[in-house]
Amino acid sequence: MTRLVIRRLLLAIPLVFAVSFITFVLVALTPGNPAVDLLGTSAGKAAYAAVDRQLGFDHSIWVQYWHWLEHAVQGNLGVSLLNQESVVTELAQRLPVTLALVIGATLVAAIGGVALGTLSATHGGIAGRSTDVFAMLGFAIPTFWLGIVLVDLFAVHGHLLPATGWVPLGQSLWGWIKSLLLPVVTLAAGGITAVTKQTRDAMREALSREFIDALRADGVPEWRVVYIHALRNAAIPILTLLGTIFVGLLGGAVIVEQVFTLPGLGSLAVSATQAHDLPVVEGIAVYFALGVVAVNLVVDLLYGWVNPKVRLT
Amino acid sequence: MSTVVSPDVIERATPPSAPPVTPRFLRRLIRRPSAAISLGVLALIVLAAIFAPLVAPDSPNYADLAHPLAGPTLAHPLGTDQLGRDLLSRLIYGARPAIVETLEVVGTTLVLGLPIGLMSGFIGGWFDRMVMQVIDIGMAIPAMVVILIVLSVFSNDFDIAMIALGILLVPPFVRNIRGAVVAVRGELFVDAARVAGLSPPRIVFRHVLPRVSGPVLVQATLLSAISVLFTSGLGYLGFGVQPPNPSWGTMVGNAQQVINESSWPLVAAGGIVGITVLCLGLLGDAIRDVSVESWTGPVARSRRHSVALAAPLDRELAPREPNADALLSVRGLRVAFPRQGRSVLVAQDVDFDIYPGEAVGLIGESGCGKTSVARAVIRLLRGGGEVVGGRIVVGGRDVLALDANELRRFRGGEVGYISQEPQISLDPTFKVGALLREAIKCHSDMSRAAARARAVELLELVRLPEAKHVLALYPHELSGGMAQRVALARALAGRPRLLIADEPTTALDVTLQSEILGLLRSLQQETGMALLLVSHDCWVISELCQRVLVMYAGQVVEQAPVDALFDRPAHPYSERLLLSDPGSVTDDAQPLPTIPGTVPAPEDWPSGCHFRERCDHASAACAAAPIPLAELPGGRESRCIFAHDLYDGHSTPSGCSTR
Amino acid sequence: MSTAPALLEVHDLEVTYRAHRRELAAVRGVSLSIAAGETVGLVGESGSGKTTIARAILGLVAVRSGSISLAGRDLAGARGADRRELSKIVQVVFQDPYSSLNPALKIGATLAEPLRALHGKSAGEARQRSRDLLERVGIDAAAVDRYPASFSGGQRQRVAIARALMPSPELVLCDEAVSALDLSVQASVLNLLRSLQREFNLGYLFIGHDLDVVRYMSSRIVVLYRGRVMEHGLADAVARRPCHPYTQALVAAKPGRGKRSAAVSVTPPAGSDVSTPAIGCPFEPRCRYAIERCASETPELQATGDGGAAACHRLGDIPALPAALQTPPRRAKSA
Repeated sequence: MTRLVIRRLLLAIPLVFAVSFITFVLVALTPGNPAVDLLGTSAGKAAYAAVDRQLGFDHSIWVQYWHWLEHAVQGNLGVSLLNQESVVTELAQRLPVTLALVIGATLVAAIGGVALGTLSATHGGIAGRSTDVFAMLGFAIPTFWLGIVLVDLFAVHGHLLPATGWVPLGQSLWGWIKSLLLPVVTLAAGGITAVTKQTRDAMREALSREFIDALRADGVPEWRVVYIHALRNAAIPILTLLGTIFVGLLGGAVIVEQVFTLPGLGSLAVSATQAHDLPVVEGIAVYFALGVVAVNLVVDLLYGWVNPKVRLT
Repeated sequence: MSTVVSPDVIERATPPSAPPVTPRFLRRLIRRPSAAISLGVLALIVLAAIFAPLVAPDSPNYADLAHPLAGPTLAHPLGTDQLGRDLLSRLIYGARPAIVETLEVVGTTLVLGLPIGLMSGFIGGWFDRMVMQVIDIGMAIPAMVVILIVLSVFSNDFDIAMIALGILLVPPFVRNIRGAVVAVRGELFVDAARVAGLSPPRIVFRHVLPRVSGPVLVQATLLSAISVLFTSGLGYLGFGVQPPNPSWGTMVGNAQQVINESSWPLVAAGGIVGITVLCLGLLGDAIRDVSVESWTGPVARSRRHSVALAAPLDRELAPREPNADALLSVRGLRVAFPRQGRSVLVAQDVDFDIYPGEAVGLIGESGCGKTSVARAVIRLLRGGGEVVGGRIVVGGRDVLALDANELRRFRGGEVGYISQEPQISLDPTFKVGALLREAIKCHSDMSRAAARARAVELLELVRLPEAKHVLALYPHELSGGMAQRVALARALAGRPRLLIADEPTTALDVTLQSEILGLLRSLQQETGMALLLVSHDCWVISELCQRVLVMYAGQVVEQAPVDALFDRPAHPYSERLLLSDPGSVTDDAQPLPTIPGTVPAPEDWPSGCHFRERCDHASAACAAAPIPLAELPGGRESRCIFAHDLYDGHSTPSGCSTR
Repeated sequence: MSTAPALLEVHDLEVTYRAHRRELAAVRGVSLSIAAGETVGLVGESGSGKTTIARAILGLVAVRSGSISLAGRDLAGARGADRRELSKIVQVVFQDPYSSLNPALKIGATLAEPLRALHGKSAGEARQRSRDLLERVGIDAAAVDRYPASFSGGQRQRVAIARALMPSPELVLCDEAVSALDLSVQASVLNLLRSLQREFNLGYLFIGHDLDVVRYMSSRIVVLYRGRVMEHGLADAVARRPCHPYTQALVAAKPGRGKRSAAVSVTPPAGSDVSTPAIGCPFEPRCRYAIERCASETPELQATGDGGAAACHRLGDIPALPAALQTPPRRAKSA
């Protein structure tokens, strides 16, 4: 088991490298002068030079990357070009928001999706057809549109939940939950349909296997056959899916945070992008990459628990 | 999924190997309503976008400030936005960037991904391994963030962002295509092509590429859908086409601003995106369904099938009463399966008895219905099969009348069952010990320790050495022979009085087969249980069974003690079957005796005797009416009107050919 | 032994494969020869290496050492165009009738393709030959325009046989060609194979796991176990009077009336190495006659009385199989 953990952590390194290196390559390809972008065309030469130095553009790309790496490993991701604050500090403030949002959405998608998918797989016919429709709709409806509609219904007209804004956990538990409810549901909407469909397919496939018949032939009660045996065998593709969904949810979080004006990493990414605040955007990219690594690790561990073949190799 | 760019969507989309996209395929596709409508709507959108100046009622940026946020009217079919601009026109013009962007994304992915996927799947080796590693990393990169980075760097060039998105979608695409290629490559006809001397490029183009064109199409539709969602999301965030020019995403953003005054713009803008993506998704599903159908025939619709029989309706033979002395008594059993909306009989008028402690064999070739009969006894028919007639009585109880709870106890407790492939009949995620304990606990109330002891006992019963060690193993760690013994142990956990073994040794090597047969015999002796052994191999049955039933085309055609059957078969089919085995040949120089013709499918069973079209002795009487089982001396039965003649060795009447 | 020149000569073949980062042997030290018009049977259970040998002869797997020569030309070193030339001499009929024909192509296309690509025949010529061969194997010539899906397993095997005959080969490998067929269908396909052999003077390497079927088809038999030859000789001798303990076990294991099979397992449990050991007899762990020498020294093939040979250190000590374990005559009456 420890071998699995170590192997997964080792694989994490190329990922973080890849993400950060892609960023750097893109930066190196920047057309025009970022200093001009930032300061406008009428600043003095000294000002441009200062920005260049600040951005590290006075060195070669490799040196720049090396510097960045050096700092990153020590926990320093540079400073924001806009407000000169440490990137790490800024991100740390916003991390809990995005974490709560994405993890919440993943859990909702996972639990809801598995429940619906299992229901659909065991009750064929109408349930199957409605699951298909449900899945297709969830796929087709744009997240941002759904968010706006929900806000309109529940916040603006219904006055049940806040339309925008974020209440930190420390301040009020109930307020925190209320401010998270709509965003999590919106974000989870796309994911839940995918999980439902995958669960249904995986359960159907598991239930069609020979060992299911063998279990029934030996007199094992039906509930055990479905919820213990079939589900465990269906778990592997579902877990894989959850891992990839998480990656997608990170992207979706960017949109959702915009719709609901949540002060998370996503909305920061958008504003930083519009302001060309590269260190911040790069920092967020690294955080996201680390998040993906962590989730993949959890998924791998769960694999090992569910699938003995994986565990032993 | 909306803007959640989940690579899984692309991955799960298609079955691994699909037939090529041919004109025939396309015709099948159009016939499906979902595909036809989707294609129609998409074509409409594309055409409208291309001919926008002609089709749109207004210029998209013309602001009719006098009528802001108007509802649908003749002048403005979809109403106006807050600046009085016609929504329909804006939607139509907004389709243009959507289409262009989608083409950029999907084009990039296909151009890069298809060659890589083809090569990776076909060549394999280190190239494939490297590609898979890159894919793993690629799928973990959060696409949205990278696109934002690209946008922050190349703020004036949205096209580069689109190409970047296309590149980011390559990993899941390649993974799927590669999977399809690997599946095709593994098929024997590719080997045959190599043996035939065809060069690899030719094989790839002629044989592999057509087979993956289906998956490629499905993926293309999904990529398009994801692209539309993603780019409209970016538009919503303010990237891409800049105001005042319309894009679907920015229109949603504008609509959000006036949500309190009018929700119509929101519906219109969101609606177009939703409809486009919906059509693409439905199209992809339809392509996938048609691909699968081309393999397996139309996907069975689960409507209630009419019980109209496909074969000509024989007058039913009068059913006989079940035998009260027998452990298992089957009378007039009929089993049917739904095929293409109709109910088709696969077993008809099956009668037999099994007495306590007896070993009875059921011989037949594929398609004769023997497996359906065996599974019907424990009501474990697959694929919608049902018992549509007859009675099954075990120990005085009517099996067909048992409720769910009684049935559960009956299975494994009265009648046990093992099937052909041992390794797949055990849940791979459970240890052997857990599987055994579960079976034990289903049939008795035991503590965990007692159950464990009983599990060891069972393993010893099936002659597995080192029982304690085996308990801790997983099914994939067992050899074929061991797995079959474990399956046997589980079937015996409830102490059944009858064991049904359906081709238990077919998947095993002959030396292993011999051991399992010996084991079944000693189990019978030790536990006194009866055995119903189903097999296509006459010699397996001849070794183990005292009585034999021969099935052909859904019917029992002969029933006899084993020596009697092998020495002197009393039905033309049994006779020809035994003769066609190379093991019974005495003169090698002669060709093997064969049976002319082929086994009729259940839909095509002849009236009267099912074997008559292939039989030397057939006469008009054979077609007239259903043939009953005739009794012969020695406790034998035969479903042949000439049975007595055959049995006594006389030549047949009516001048038909003799042996 | 046939005095005709050898069509296929395999000498001291060794084939390895990679698994778990190690190189394991699938076949070691296997030699056999087939003369023109002769059928040699290759018998073995799963893991015996028989399919590997077939694939090596067909050029589908690489050969570690040893030689394979076909009509005097060395196969093992052949590449590219040379390989394709050899496809005119040796062809194959596979076991699975369902995946050995490309389901997406019409039968005519599958049959004609190699002829057109390799032998430069025109479309018309190839089509005519396809029709002729289909008729010869008992399939209606109109099948050229149909897809494999509309044919049964037995019919598809016939098509596969026709495909193998298209380039007029001299040697055909039948790799479990009838194992997936029902008994009555199997009989007709075997008859077909024999009549084709007589008509075209084909050599067959007939691979199977059923000793009775292989004996019926072959003039000589080679028995394999885990990659090594255990015994070879005339078909009747090997199948009816086996000398090697493994061959005897095979014959004894074939079920039949009155036989009493062993209930005790002599099979080593899973996880044990399935590759061919470099030293020693591979059957040693299961052999009741095994002595120490069997594990430490690889037995050489020694002549048996019957014109064949067996690889066993204790050949002289092995008693003949008792009549009760022999394959008994099946019918009291003759057909």
